Amino acid sequence: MAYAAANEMAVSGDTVVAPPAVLVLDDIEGVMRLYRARILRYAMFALRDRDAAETITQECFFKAYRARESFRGDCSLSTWLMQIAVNLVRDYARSKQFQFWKRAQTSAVDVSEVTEFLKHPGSSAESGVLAREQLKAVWAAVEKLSRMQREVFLLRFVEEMELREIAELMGMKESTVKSHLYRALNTVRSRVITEAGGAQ
Amino acid sequence: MSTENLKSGHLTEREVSQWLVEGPVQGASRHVQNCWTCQAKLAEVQAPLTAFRSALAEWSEAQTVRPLLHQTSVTRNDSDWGRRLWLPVASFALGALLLVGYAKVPALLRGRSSGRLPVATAAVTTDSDEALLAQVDTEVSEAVPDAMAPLTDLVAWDSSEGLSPQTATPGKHEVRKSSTSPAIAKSPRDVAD
Repeated sequence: MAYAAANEMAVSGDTVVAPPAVLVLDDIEGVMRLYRARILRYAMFALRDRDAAETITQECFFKAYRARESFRGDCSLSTWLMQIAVNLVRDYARSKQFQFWKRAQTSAVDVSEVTEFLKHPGSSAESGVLAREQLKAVWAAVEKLSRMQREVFLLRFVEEMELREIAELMGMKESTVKSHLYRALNTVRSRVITEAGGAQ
Repeated sequence: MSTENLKSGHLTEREVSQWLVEGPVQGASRHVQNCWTCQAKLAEVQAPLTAFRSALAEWSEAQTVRPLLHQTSVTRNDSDWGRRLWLPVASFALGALLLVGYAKVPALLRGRSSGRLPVATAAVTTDSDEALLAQVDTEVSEAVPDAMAPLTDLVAWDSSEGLSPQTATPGKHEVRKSSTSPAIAKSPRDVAD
């Protein structure tokens, strides 16, 4: 119960008083239940490789558990975990530089798989089709982005993190984060608008 | 809002991006609240991003539920190894059983014995094989099938007359007569004798 309460605080309160870190991280299964989807999602799109993303997600929680004593609550638990994941993704991308694209071809997630999870925003079938087309367009555009642009884009528009947090996480200036974001967003926008024009 | 846009009052492309990246643009929030055009401009980009975010969130949640059931925990101690190992061991045993079964089935279907059968089984099989061969040999050695036997008896009867007792084989003919064609053997003349 104490763990659950602490976890809830960790989730809801990125700005609320942080619970004792070791107490929360001792229940690593509870932490995984809360944050696994987020880490997996990030790793998946940063690497575009399902197997690698699974491995990195596992490794992320394993590292967090082993280093739980070093977590002092300076940032939120989710940010701390995300930082570990970012480092793992970087290490992986460096070490697998030559195999990376090959592997991405074999175990990448298909866009059609993800569109199955799209909730229909409207009641009509037409709006559902439109949403699917939009999702595909964004997906295709994100795949074309550079790794750095893609990571920043995901952290901002999928994880909805603040620019300051992203800068801290990525170890770059806030202005650099903005620059990556503007470029990424322009690419996505132009793709979405082109697709929409083509559909009409 | 930029001076260029103050004329029309609507958000520029740059301001739309700025709105999405950095949040509401200073001085434009009130305008956007009341302007359908600017709201549509923002929605044109926001809607796909929202669809992308929600689909990814749902997808990753779905991925999370399944693997957690099979996940090994870093908090478990080494005494749990027995429980962790039983599944691979059981799978291996089952696989081995299936492999053995798969190897045996074709041999059984062919009706052959495997080379690795026990010696006693092999001996029994050899005996039965010999008996079968002997039976086949006997049947093959029959020069004339049973259905043709009466005709051969007639021929043999005629041809044996005039032959010397050494060359003739009356015994054989007698056997044939008595065993295969009782009607001929018991002709009226024979009965009278």
